[in-house]
Amino acid sequence: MAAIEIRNLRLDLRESENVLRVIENLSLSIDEEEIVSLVGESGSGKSLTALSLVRLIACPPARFSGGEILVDGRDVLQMTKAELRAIRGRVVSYVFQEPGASLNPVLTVGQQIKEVLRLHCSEEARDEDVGRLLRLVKIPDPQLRMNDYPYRLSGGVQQRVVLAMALAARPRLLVADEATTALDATVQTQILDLLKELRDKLGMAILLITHHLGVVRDIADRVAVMYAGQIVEMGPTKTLLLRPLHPYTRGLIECVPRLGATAGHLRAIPGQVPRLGSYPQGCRFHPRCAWAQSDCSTREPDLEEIEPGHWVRCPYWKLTSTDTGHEHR
Amino acid sequence: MALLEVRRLAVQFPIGERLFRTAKRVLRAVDDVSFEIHSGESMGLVGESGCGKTTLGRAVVRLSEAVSGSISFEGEDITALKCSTLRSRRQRFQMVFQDSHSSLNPRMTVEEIIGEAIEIHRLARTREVRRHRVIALLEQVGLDATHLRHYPHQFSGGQRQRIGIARALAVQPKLIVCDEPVSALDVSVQAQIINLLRDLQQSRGIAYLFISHDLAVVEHFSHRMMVMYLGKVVEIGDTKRICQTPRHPYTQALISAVLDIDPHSKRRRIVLSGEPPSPISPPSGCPFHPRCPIAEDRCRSTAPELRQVSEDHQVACHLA
Repeated sequence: MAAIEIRNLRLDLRESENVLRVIENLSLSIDEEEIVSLVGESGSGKSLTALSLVRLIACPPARFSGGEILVDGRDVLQMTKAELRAIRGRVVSYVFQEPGASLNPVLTVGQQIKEVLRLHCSEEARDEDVGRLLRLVKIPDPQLRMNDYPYRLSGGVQQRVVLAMALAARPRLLVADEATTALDATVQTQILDLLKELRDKLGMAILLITHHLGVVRDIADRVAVMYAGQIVEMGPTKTLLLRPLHPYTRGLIECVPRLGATAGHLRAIPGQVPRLGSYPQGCRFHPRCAWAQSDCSTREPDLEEIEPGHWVRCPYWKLTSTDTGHEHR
Repeated sequence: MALLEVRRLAVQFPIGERLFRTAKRVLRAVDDVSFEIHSGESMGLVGESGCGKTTLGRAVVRLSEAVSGSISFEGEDITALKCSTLRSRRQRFQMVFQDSHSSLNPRMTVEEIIGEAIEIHRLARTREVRRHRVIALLEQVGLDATHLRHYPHQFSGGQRQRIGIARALAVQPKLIVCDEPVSALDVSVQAQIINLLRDLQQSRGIAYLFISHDLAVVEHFSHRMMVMYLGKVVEIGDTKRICQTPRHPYTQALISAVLDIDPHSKRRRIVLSGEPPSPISPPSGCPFHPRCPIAEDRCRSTAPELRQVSEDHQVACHLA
């Protein structure tokens, strides 16, 4: 069963006179206990998609102009303020990139966690409850850390505290928006392991937003690749990483240096990532695509299911997946 | 002779210093670091946040002052050079910063930003000549004359980083210190910049000190590398050798923490407990011992010195 399901979501942003369509017909469903990763570069709309789940976007300037987001058969886009409050934190909860910015600098860790507990659970939040949450995210000496202010903690421990707060109401889906990006490599692996463990222990689903395919391969069951406000490829992690069909996905995989690979030129994707909302006509990737055909600049491709569970938004995927691409670059 | 030779360099920052009160404690950001870079070579520098890699990079170009040790550039000791001499020497070593947004003056056009360096070192006699040089530089980094009158905010992150590189190139340096030059960029643009830096090295013989937290990027980019932990170099030598057979347990953990894309890869992961301790009160003995999976008694009491383990490969570990 799906923990949450997005159907044909459209999101507009008003920028002075212009209306920018920043998310176009996006459909994504996340099953219970599934880890889905949303991959893309800046301006691809991945964070906006995640924030849309429980409508954490200010409207205006934003406007949901179509689609639905279903939780237990109810549409989030139609909910009242009170109904939204009831699902925020309890059904969907968030962890963001900079833990330091998510924590209140003038409250101790314990006070902040109690605030969340009071809001979601009972009138009386006790030290034991805080301690239990801190142990859940594996913070050593919870009794001591409870009385610390955030500035005393390292980035990794701060992120664990934020995670503890996000888990206070036992959400069904945890959204981790670049939650490990700012952390050091050795700490990043600790947090990724913790996330996997929490999924198994608490049986929650995770939507992990990242630009790092290494993180995806480490943790995700399924991946959706976003480019310029659209999903361009979606499928099981292994399939997608071994046999990427969309030229953009292929580019993303090939442009990162790998440990132990032979040195030489990296296969960069030419050009720039388009600005949020101002996307090219036709296929949005065509100006940067090595395999672009004459009709790519006019015809907008659909997301098609090539094999069960593997979706691609490129009519020329056969060309891409068999060709090495050398002669094109 | 090495292009750059750094000997026993130390950089410290006083903590809690106020007027009429000298600092009681110091933060040892860089502690007894020695290395050399030959001309046309790239030296990678990896480590986690707070290990002192940025401070070391800044100290090399004299943007941070050393408390002891020496820096020689082409055989000349530049550790204590005074203002005007230092400025003229800086023509030979430049820096590219991580954040291209804050390292370019928002009120100057591209022509002024790049031209300023040419002006300071009096490398062009007339305005015309200067403009031609700026255009040539822009073309080398993949931009062109149409960008001359643009301001930094009109560019994307990748383009701004290209401007930063063009500015560094303007004075024809022999060494460029690159401090996380690609970390703030989108992955598809990262590769463009890495390729650009590499092409420039091949065509102009520039040497780099390439600072990054991303080991895969450093492995790809540099001939030699060093790994820093709490202000000290724990492993240094040939990049391929270190990445294939890392000898220091910290390097081993760093390499195992690189997240591979390949679903078939079966790299064993070493999960380190805890996080780097504060450089204000570093642990006794080996700085890595509280997190080290194989630490013994002597690691807690005596700090290991760097020693040769094979050709061009040195490690600071009792047990390596």
